[in-house]
Amino acid sequence: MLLIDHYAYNNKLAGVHPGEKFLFFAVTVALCLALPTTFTTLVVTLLMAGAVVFAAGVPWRFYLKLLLLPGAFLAVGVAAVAVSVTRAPQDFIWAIHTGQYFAGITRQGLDNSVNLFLRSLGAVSCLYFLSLTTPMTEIADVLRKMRMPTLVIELMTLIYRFIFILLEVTRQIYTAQSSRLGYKNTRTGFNSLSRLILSMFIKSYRQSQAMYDSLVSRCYSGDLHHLSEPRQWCARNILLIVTVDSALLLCSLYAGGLV
Amino acid sequence: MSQYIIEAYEIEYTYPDGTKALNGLTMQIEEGRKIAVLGANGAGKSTLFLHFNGILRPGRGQILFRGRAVHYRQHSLLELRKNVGIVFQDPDNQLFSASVLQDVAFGPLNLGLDRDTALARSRQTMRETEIETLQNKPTHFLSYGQKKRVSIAGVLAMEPQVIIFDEPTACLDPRMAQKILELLERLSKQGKTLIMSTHDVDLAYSWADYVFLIKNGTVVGKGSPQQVFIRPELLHNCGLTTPWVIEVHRELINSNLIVDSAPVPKDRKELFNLIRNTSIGTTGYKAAQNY
Repeated sequence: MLLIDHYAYNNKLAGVHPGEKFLFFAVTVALCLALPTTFTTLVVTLLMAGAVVFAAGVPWRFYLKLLLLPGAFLAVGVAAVAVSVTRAPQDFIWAIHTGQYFAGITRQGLDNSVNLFLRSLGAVSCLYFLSLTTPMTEIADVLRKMRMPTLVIELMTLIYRFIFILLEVTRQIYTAQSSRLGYKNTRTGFNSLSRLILSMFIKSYRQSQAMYDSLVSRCYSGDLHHLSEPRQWCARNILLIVTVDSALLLCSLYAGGLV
Repeated sequence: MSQYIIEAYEIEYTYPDGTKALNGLTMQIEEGRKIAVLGANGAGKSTLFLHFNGILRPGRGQILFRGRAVHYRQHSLLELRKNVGIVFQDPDNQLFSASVLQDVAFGPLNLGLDRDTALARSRQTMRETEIETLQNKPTHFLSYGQKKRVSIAGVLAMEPQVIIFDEPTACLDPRMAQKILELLERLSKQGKTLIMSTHDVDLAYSWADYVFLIKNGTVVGKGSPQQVFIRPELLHNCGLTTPWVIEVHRELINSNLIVDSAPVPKDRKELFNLIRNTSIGTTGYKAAQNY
């Protein structure tokens, strides 16, 4: 989790205009979702992996681990789509029969699930590209330029900041508990965990109060003021994005049999 | 007519849970001084500071800024907060922004300065606090000492006349603490009024030029450090101890190593000079050299 943030600030694409990265993300993810052929989704996954590993310089082992995270969720979700339960027997590839019900995998269900899996993987890759190359502050900046309501952006900023504070506090409490054998077995573990969660609530409440006080002491009047570093759009990058995505679009249309 | 910049008269404050934090506290703060506020944990120091900035409103009593009573209306509060800045003890409570520059510029932008002025001011204070290399870093990547300096910069950038430091050297390593003290010295030379709360009697003794002792929400002792810190029973009563410089000085007198009339040294350096200039050891050493 924290490493994602580390790479967001320290990658070879950190100096690129966030708008360009956002454009690449948005167009590619749109293509991936709108033209969900196996070809498109696979290419998008590989394209983003290449961009993250080669262009941004994120270690491939780390990237692979990151992909495994949603991979597990996806596998479970996809399994549910693949299996269909019916009364009448269908052309199952494999099925079990209990009472008057059939539970099995059909050709179409399998196709659907594979397609869904690849499509999600492609979309997740796009999101990873954005979050591994662009710091939160810059994403917020792009969203603000796109006229996202200020409230949403300020919430994003504060939530982002609090994630780190809460993680740190959790880590401290967890360490303090473990050092006094709080997690020596499952029973004490659950007990300690419940206390940890309780004290997290109390601490975060206190901390938010204290933070509000300190904001007010610096004349806070409801606006967190965003500052953005002026960055130059790079024509070459935009051209590259347009070329790559156009090629992707044409190939997808061709592969989908629409051209 | 008054040279006092902040005055508090008979202020009382009770927290919603019934804890009486301030109990008829009266305090006058002269402009341009270095003031240390000492007291045990829970004596009411932090609560008092929140009053100086208008975050808390006294249940009874009055706060004056430059001789004028603070009215708790938007305009009056903004004026007060513009002039009185607080550096909170825990920098994590103060840093809300994802990037250092944004956090430092938060105050100046709230003052209604235009972007360029606010940025110029922020960059200037970041240079003064030696954090300019951190400007695009996210605040959660910083070390505790760096966070502390960023939180100080965030307050300095508003250019307040009074700066309140709540335990500025707590949890810092000696070198970082020294750096913060050097910064405070520079600020003092610029004519700022500095108020510091601390438990560190040695620090308060050598740093401050005026000291307040607080206990149970009232002032129980005040005066120059040389007046306040030579009263062991008062210090003990407040949960404090005698600064080591004074203890050593007293011990030297008791052991007849220096003369009774020797002035109480202000800090380590003065004490060492006193020892070098008046002790028998020096004479003996010099005699040996001549021989």
